[in-house]
Amino acid sequence: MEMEKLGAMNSDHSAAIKVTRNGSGEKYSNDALSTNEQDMTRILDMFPGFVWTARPDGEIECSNQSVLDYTGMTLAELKNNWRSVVNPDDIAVRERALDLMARSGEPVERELRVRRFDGVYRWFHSRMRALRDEHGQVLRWYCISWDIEEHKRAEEALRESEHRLRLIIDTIPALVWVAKPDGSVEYTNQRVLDYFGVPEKDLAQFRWVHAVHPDDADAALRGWLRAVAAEASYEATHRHRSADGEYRWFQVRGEPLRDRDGRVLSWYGVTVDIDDRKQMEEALRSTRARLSRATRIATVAELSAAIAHEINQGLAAVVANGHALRRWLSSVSPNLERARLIAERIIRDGNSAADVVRRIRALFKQEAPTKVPLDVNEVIAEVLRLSGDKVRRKSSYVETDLEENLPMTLADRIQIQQVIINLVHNAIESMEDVTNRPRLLSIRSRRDATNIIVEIRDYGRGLENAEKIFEPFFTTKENGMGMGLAICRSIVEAHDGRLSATTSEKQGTTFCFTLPIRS
Amino acid sequence: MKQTGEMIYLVDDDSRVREALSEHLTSLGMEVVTFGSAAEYLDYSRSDAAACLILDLQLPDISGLDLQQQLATEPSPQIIFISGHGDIPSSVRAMKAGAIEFLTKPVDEEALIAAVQAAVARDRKLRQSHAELAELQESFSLLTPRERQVLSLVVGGLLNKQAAAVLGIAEVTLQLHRSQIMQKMEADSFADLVRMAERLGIRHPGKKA
Repeated sequence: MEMEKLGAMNSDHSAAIKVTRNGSGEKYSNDALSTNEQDMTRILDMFPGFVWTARPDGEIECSNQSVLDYTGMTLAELKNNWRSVVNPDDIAVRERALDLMARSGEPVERELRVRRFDGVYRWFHSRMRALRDEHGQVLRWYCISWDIEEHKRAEEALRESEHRLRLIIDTIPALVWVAKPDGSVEYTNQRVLDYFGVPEKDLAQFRWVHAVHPDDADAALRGWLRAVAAEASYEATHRHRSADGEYRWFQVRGEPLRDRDGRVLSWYGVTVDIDDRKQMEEALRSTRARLSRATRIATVAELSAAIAHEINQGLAAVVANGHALRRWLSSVSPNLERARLIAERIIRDGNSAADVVRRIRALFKQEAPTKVPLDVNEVIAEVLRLSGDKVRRKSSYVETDLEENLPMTLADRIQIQQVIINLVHNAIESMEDVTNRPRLLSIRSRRDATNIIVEIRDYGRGLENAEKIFEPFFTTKENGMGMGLAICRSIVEAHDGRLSATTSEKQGTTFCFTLPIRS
Repeated sequence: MKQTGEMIYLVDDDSRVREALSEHLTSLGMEVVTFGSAAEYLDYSRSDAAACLILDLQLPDISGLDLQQQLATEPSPQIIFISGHGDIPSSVRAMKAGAIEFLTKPVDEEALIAAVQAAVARDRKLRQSHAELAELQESFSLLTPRERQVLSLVVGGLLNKQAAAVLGIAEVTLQLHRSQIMQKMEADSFADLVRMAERLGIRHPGKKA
């Protein structure tokens, strides 16, 4: 047995010792040491690890040079003091190992920390076997140990990074899951187990779809199965029941992980609690609805106040003129000329109050437009034909940029015509006092994904307030009623469109209205 | 009801109302000047005649109530408010700030006449009282410093002898000052002089008012 000649290394007599085998007195003499044995000694000393032997009681007998170099001890020191180089925590390990091995007879492997000459402990892996007599009594231990510090560290780092990752996965405020290619759950983070109240060992039996709100379950399951079959991204929003029976809204996203050939290896997913957001959206929606109702009521109230005021002013004038008329007529010498003038004013003011009433009728009549498929470009062309006179009279220029093949909208022809006429006439009138540049009226039609957009732009002086002009009875004109734009807006809104104005002193005013494209 | 020289100022932004009310007031024999805004009224230089201001509550520039507040710091005609709707808080505010009346449109003739009369009457009274005070101040300015001292002591209730002692002069000298004062102030009696001194805000220096 080659190993049994290991006593050659670093023995008391440095070069060679006699090794007793089986206690039988069989001897290897010095002269038996050949060149081969010297080679062997060198090999052992150069061996990148510890090689050593110990007595049956565990006390070190001899070792190779590596041990002495590492510990910085002589063999004598090592023999007397080997315990000082083993980490105190590991001495018991060594002893237990020896004890175990002595009884079982099996080679034993263990890991322990050994102190280097500079006081630093490094991890070593040791493997030992025993030389025994015919009764199985241990005669001597033969051991090798090698440095596994780097390996240990890498292992530790890996464990730590795994721990950290696990911590992240368990801590991120979302339910994280991994599913097999067939769609069944493979792994989840702690939050999933906590939310659904599933013990980790029962995860394999856990069917998430059973914890989906009954109203959402069907769609949720079908969506997931469709995604798994199509191997495409999965996204869904549904309510999940928590361990304590409460349903909360979640948004679920899953993404398949594929191998090089594109086969799905597994699904990775997050399920995020969006219940608070959902509640907020709901609250916002209902607030908006309430607000729009309130705005409508406020508008009606404001409108009626404005109407009442407008009519009352006319009536006040009629009454005051009536009083005056009576006075003039009842004087000693009635001034008939004056009386006639006042009577005419009474007729005029009475008619203007009646006109308010007529326009208001028109405003409310528009609530039910007769909608037909309508080509807005055609209506624009028609309006321009009708307005030709006015345009010429006011020496304005008209520039049109109408998108070809504009889709149809569903609208009341007369009403839309009214809107465009109103905006065109406003534009022309707004430029009446412009003298330092051409009075250019620009009409443009275009479309986006859902709407037809018409822009009517003037190069007048602009408006002070682009929103106030839509209020009933607001007017910037000498003889205006202030109803035109209010009516235009109500017509456009009755067609599910919007009418707005943008204005600046230099650029004039652009009125823009939209009408939905007929689907 | 015609009275000479009184002016009605009418401020309303609605030309129809302006025209008709002006016509109505003219038919009642009043002289009317109309304005479309508060600024126009403020820019106008009024004559010195007795007057009344008919003010629409809603004006295009500043509200009638704000104008009332602004006018409160200067001599100004009495104010009658007119409004399209009987808005109680505004009318309360207007009346508290000293308005004569708060009329709703269409304006009732009788109420209008009554209000205008009341306003003009109050304006006349105020003007008269202002004029009297100005006259008194004029007379007072004629007094010498010594006479002013004497006036304040005697209307304060001191006997001639006491007043003379306070000033360290002979009683006869004091009596001389006193008759000068009566003459310059054109007082009919000592009681009249006391009233005048009161209007001028003169008090005995020893007595704190």
